[in-house]
Amino acid sequence: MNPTVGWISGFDLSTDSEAKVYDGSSGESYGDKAVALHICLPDDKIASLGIVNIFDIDEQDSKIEFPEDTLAVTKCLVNGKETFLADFIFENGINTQLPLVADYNGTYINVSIKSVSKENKTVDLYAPVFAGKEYRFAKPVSDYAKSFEEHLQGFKDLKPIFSCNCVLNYLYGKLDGKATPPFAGPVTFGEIAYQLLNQTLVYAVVLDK
Amino acid sequence: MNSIYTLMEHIGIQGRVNYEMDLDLIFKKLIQKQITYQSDNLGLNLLISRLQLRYSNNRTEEELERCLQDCPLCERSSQFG
Repeated sequence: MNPTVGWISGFDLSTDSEAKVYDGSSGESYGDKAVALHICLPDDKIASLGIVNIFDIDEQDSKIEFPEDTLAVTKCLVNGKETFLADFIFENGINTQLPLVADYNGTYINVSIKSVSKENKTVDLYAPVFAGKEYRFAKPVSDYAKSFEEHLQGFKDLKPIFSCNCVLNYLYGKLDGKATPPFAGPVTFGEIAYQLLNQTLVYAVVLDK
Repeated sequence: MNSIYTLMEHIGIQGRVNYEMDLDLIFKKLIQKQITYQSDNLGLNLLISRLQLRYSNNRTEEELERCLQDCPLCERSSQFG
């Protein structure tokens, strides 16, 4: 496997801009490409990616499934019953700072809420949900900033060569002016560790084989 | 590598094994969700989840074989000794 780590280009969300990458040699910009740095490691080393995700799920909570892969959800199945996800959020007073979470064989992967429209009954997401996966809203976190700091304690002996943290962690976790050791990378839109993630800190370490 | 051994221990495979045959069988069972698997290896977890989802959308022998071929850990190579 070729570990892939990085982030989505940022842009001002209050404008109609789009994420872009730039070819520095020509000045040309692209909205549908990526810039990739390919790194060769010595034969005795291997790159390993990890994540810091402060969110957990309660298996007893409502199970949510989607009929198609999408970034904009209207109808879904909540415990097998067809419902508008927007209605479910409003009727249950769900805090939209909490992401949807799916269990990928022991790794919890988040999908963050971008916006909820009562009129259009649409929920826009920062990453797609996938048909066939089971999601639940994350368990509430009483103190986002404190929870993030506590989770970082488990990584204090790590020596990452790269990391990036989600801008939502920065905003919701009130990280302005704060350090997050051992991680010191950028705060970004849409962090990538093999795939697009949300509300997650991703990191890479180099290990001996 | 450690994840493979963890996986094999998890599903109770012990002793001397024919790695080539047994790994294919193990991964087929994993892809079909006939055995449960969890690890702390992000890449492996995401990959297996993706293959499981792909197979669940097309439950044919051909798709199962394609998923198996897309699983880099199923390469018949000396890395498994």
